[in-house]
Amino acid sequence: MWNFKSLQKTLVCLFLISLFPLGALAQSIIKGTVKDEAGEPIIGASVQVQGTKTGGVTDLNGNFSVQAGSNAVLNISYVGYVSQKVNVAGRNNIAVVLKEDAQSLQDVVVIGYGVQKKSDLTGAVASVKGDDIKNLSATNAAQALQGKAAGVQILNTSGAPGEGSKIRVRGYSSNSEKIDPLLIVDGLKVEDINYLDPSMIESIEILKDAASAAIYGAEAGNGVVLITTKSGASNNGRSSIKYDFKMTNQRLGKKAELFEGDEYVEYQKAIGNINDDLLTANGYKPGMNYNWFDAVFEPSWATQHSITFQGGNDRGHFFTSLNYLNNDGIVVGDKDVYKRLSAQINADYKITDWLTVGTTNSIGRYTRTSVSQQSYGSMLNSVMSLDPLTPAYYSTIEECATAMQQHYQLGDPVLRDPNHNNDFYATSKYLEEATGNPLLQRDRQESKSTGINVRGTAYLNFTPIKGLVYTSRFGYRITQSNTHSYSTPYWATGMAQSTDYSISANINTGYYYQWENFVNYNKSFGKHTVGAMAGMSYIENNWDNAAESAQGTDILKSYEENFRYINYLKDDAVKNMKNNLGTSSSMSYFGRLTYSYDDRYSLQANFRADAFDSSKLIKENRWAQFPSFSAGWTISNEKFFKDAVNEDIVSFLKLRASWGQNGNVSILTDYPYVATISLNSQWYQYKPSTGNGDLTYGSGPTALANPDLKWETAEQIDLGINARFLNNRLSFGLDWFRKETKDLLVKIAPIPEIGLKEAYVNAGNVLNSGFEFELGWRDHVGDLQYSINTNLSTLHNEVLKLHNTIDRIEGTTGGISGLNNKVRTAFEVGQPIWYFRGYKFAGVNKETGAPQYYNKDGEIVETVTDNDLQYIGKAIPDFTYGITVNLAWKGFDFTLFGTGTAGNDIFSLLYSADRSKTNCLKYYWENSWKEDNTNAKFPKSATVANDWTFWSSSASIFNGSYFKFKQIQLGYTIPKNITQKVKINELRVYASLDDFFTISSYPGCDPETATTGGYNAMGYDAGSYPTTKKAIFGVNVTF
Amino acid sequence: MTVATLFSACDQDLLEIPQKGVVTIETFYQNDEDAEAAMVAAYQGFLWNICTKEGGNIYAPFRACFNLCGDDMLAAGEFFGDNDFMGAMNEFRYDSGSEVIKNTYSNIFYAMYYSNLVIDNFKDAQTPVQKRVVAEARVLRAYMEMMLAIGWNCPPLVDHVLLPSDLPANYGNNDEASHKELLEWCAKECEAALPDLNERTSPSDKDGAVKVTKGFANAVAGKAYLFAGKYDEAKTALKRVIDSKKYELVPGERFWENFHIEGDCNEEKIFEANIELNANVPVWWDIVNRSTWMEANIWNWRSDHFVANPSTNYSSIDGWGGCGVPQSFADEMIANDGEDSYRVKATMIPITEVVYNTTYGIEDVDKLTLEQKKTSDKLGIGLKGLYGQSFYLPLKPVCRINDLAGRGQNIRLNNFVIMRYAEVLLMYAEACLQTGDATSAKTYINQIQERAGSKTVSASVDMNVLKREKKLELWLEGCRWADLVRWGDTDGVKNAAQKVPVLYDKMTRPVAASDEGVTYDPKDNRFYCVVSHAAKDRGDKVGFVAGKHEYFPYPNNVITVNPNLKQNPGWE
Repeated sequence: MWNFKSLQKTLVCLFLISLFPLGALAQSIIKGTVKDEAGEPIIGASVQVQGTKTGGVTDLNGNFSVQAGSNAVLNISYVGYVSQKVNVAGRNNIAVVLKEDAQSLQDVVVIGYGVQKKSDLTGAVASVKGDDIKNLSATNAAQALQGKAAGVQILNTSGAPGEGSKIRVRGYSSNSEKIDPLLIVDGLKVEDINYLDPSMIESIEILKDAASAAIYGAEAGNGVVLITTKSGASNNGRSSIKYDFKMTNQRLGKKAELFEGDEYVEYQKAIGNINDDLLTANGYKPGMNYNWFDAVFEPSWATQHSITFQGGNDRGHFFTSLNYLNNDGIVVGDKDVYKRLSAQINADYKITDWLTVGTTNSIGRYTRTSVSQQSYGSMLNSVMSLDPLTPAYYSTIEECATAMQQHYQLGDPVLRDPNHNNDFYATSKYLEEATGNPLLQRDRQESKSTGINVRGTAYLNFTPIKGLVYTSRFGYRITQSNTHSYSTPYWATGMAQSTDYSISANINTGYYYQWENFVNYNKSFGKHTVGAMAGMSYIENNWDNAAESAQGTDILKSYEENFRYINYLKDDAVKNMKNNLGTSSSMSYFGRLTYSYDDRYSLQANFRADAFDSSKLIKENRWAQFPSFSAGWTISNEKFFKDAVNEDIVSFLKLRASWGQNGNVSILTDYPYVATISLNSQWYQYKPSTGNGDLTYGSGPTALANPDLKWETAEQIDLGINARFLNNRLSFGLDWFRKETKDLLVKIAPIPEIGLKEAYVNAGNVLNSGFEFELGWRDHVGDLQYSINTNLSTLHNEVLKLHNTIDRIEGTTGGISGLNNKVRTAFEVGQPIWYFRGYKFAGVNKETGAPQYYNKDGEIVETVTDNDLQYIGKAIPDFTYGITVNLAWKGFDFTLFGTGTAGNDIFSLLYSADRSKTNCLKYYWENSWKEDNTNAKFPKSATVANDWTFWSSSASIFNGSYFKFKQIQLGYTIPKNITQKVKINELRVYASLDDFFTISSYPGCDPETATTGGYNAMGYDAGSYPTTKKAIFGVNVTF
Repeated sequence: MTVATLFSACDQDLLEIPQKGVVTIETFYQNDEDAEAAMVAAYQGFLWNICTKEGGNIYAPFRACFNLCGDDMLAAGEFFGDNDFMGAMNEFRYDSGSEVIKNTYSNIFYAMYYSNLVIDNFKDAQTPVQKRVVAEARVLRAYMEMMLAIGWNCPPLVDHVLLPSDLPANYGNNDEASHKELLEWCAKECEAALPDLNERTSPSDKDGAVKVTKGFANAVAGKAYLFAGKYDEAKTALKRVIDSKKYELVPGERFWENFHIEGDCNEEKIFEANIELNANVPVWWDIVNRSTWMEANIWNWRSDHFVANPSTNYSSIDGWGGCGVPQSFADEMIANDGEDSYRVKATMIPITEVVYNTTYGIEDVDKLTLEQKKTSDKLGIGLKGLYGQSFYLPLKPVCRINDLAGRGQNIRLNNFVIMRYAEVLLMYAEACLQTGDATSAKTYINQIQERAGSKTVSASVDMNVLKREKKLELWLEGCRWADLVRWGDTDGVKNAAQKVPVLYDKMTRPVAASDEGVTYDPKDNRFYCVVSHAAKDRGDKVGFVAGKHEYFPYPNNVITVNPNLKQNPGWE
């Protein structure tokens, strides 16, 4: 193996020798050492004799020696540390301790195609450093962002292992699902960041305002997330080996407050569904109670190992890290497991003074098995709907429900669990449930996905003259993913049954590359600093996806485990095969001009022109231009301010303003502007006489053509203040933004007489506006270091305009497909996007216990029709916030981190009026009108048990606000003088409670994940995999 | 170097990516082959939008829309409010937001679009193929426009492909005269198409039953004339169907098969949309999209409200009990036909027979004797009863195992009947009666009665006889409601929702003191019906209102964006 250390030593020695001109021999040799505050030697620190050209750098042990007079002054400096001047004062062995320059480290932010000092920023850029997210239980970068930055909302709609998170930057700005921010990792555009373990991240920057994001133009309309992975440079050139281990015990958090056995019986009797005869016949005994949460979930373990090697010197750095995650979710058994092995390999090297080359690479492999959720008939839905009088298993067929016995006699596939005494999966004797038994659903189907992803960049920086850097960067992604699924016929209930086997395999491959060339030029003269950047990029994405499936009563040569592959399909099985390959491409030119004067005034202008391929836009419309302007004024650097205000009170004060435009082009796919004939894709059967079902093919148009289609444009104004007070201890940031997205791509239903069900037009505007606050306090009391950081953002979301032919666009009636609920989401002028549209519950008729509603005119009535449907709530929060408290005392460290939302609603779909025997939230029954409680919140249960109107009303709306303690972590770093005896540089052990406590009034499960995730169907609780509560034990070792 | 790399990669040809799998509209609609292909699209459009699951809800809305307001059915279900989109129609408490009406109205135009594409693109055609294709499309379009006129009075006449910006207005003056004129337009379209159409080759020509033929064109023309009050013209058109001798009533013992897969394309079918399994076509979703899918569930008996499921061996799928037989209808049919006519047997079934005469597949139950069954609590109706059901359960719309893609699969594959010969004969008889030719009318009414195996074979006929015969023969075939309106016989629906029956079983639910209007099944007083009127109790306005409910409202989402379309009276 290449011995970096010895090479480094040689290089340093050579370098040192070259620095000693012979003419300086008349002076004496001054020796010394440079260390950091922890006592670690600093390698390569510059030691300059003031007023001369003489100097040196420190060696591997931090030692230096320079020729200098005995009264000379030495300037000691190193990147990331506060420079120091030291008077030699006759000494010849000088010990220097450099202080880390926290300020300067924090101060550089990545902006696209360059970096900028934070103090020069004119846009709204949130910056999250690797330190802020270390040791979180989050296993992907998106999750780790939650609660850490104002204006950034992370949506976790499921707690299942391997489930990704969605990122929303400054609201919801499209009526399409394409509202994810642009994600850039080390300059490479990526589809998601779920592969990226937080431990590999150096920093995350979120370009929130249009001016900052404008450098990414047509794809930046929903914000930009820039991630920089660790390079080795951040370790101050020190070589290290780091090993992190984490063991996570996870268990079900809050259970929904459902009926227990006797309560269920009481309720069902009250609504007339069951009587004592039926109970006796079914063998009910008082006290009988089966909890389906307990049957389906059990505590489980996740483990994670991470090993990192890094090092570097003033010429180059390398960073390599290997991370392994094995997470067996809390569903009993091994049907919800996520395993991921990922590696990051980053290196850069300065070959000559004018040429640096580097590369970043991420290689990962994952496998995932999962269970169904959030849909009608899904496993997690039925956990909450099965009655508490039904156990998970019956051991004999005689114990089973009558219908099951009937089908058992008929020879239908009534299944048993081979891993549970070969017992029958029990189904309810009281209700016909859509899933039958969640454990049966777990076992009768197998679903596994695997994937290998390689992503990376290679770049060279060429510096022909000082201040000018030309970068050529090539980025690539090679992706490959497979999914396999298999399910067997079964009979559980009339609603949960299948006569078919089904099997499918999907193989997706992709190859993506981007090539970017850009020049940065920065120059200062006097008080003026100018910067310019110009560049171009070309992106090409290629994919080739194949899907094969078959379904039927007898399709495989054998059903043994080793035959459950497409390869073993019978010759006459009907096969469904698809292969789709394609290419998309785009090219762009971009540029930026910056100017600042005297650290007081900064100006910035960005420009980008993008062109997209013909699958998105017609040739004439393919180019788009996106300009932006921003300015900053650091008042605290003005003389008049300094004269008037004590620097110790107001340390820093800056005002910012920006305006810009971005686009959202991802809404356009698959040649939406053109109407074509879909050839031979229709058919009719003209020949019943043959009895073969022969097809005759036909052709017709696919859609209405709209050659005028264009991307969505977001225009945004941002005003901001950054300030620090009380000697920089108190920091404060405030931004106000107003973002209006125009030309929303809207699928309109033309009036039916036109004959086509849908057409796409650019016809809608959405407003997002709000405030973002960040407040931080950092200080120490004796040895106790402490800091508190909070952030809070508000959001006002409103549809401003919609095509004149549509009153509103509606989502699925019933909330999710398959339900008879009347609620739906809607997109309508004057309302937040995709609000809940249902009946507005007004209360209870005290005399009769009947429900009352507001009709469309606001009058209280007892019956309503479809025309009375109205706004009853929304899934988008008014506020999201996060708070982080850090304490450190003599080796102990403590972190308390929480995040929450306020003002969002949950619409519970867990009740089904046409299946009133399902278990449900007992909240309604407890608060229902009864003869002795006529002042109740909810109507008489018997009256509304089967009344869809009531269950489609705002009575099903719950306050979705919550505050979750994401992390309560206590760590202890064992003193160095002990650990160094065993060659361990640092050893930290910690214990953490993550997602452990949640404050919420919601009677269902975890309010955070009790929501569907569809862009036009947010906020329904249809039974999802809840966030687990975790107890974590971990160790960080650095060698 | 910088400049060179900056600008070298900017070849815009890189952005030209050809679209796969399509041809442009400009190069299509050229020759006979294209014409045939376009016509296939028209048939598929018709099948998907008029007959099957495609289009809005999972239930075929067309069939629901033209049956639910009749006096001959009850929208039943698990309880009041279950599948209320049907209940609201049946009890006349629907409004312009009704999903059934909206989907029916929209789907007709979606289907019509494909016919108009054929007609517009080949209207000047000279080849026999292109002329035939245009003729078929004109008849399909005429049928759809006729159904629109029947439902909505004066809907827009869409006789060409509209521009996206068009806002079509009501036909003519939006009055009774224009309504008749529009129906006449439909009839004349069919007649104009006749010369270019094929004729069904014989009553056994199956292929001739699943496409537009001269027979269907004449039948539609006859129906349109009849509804326009042009009885002579109706007579002429309908007689052409009869005289063609390409259609026959199936014998009485096969009457039932008209509503099941065994009767697909039989001699009685004038036109039906074909749905067949093909071994090489996946059931999901290719076949599902063409079947009526869950419609099968909605009509079938509410099996989970039985103590032991009687559906398992009959239809193999569990139903939602959406269709009830009003006791008055059952009584009228029995009084007319007798208990055992072919027609009664194919139409409905006494509850006693359902409960006692079913092989359940449960040993403990099946081994019981009839007398034991009568007192057994192992079978019968459950505690909740059967909402909307009388002492007869429906059979005609309830699928049998053979109708399905497989046992237990709610994918119903028997063809969707648009018109059968019995309707032609009854329409012809009516036209004869209206023109004073009672003799001819009697001939055909008697044919229907005899075939039904009815004990009533009328010695003389008048409109009352015809009306009863048509009501019984074409139950749930989309005729009764339109006839009620046309004849002004709406008394039977004025009181809709006043007395909705709930059928109970004393074994599981003894009669309660609060039960209203209790009646006992004369066959076995174990079963009894209780009267309910939940909508009325709730304060809903229910029942047919003259001057309003004769025509459906235009859907609110259409009316609000098209100022040229006037809402029907009473719905403004």
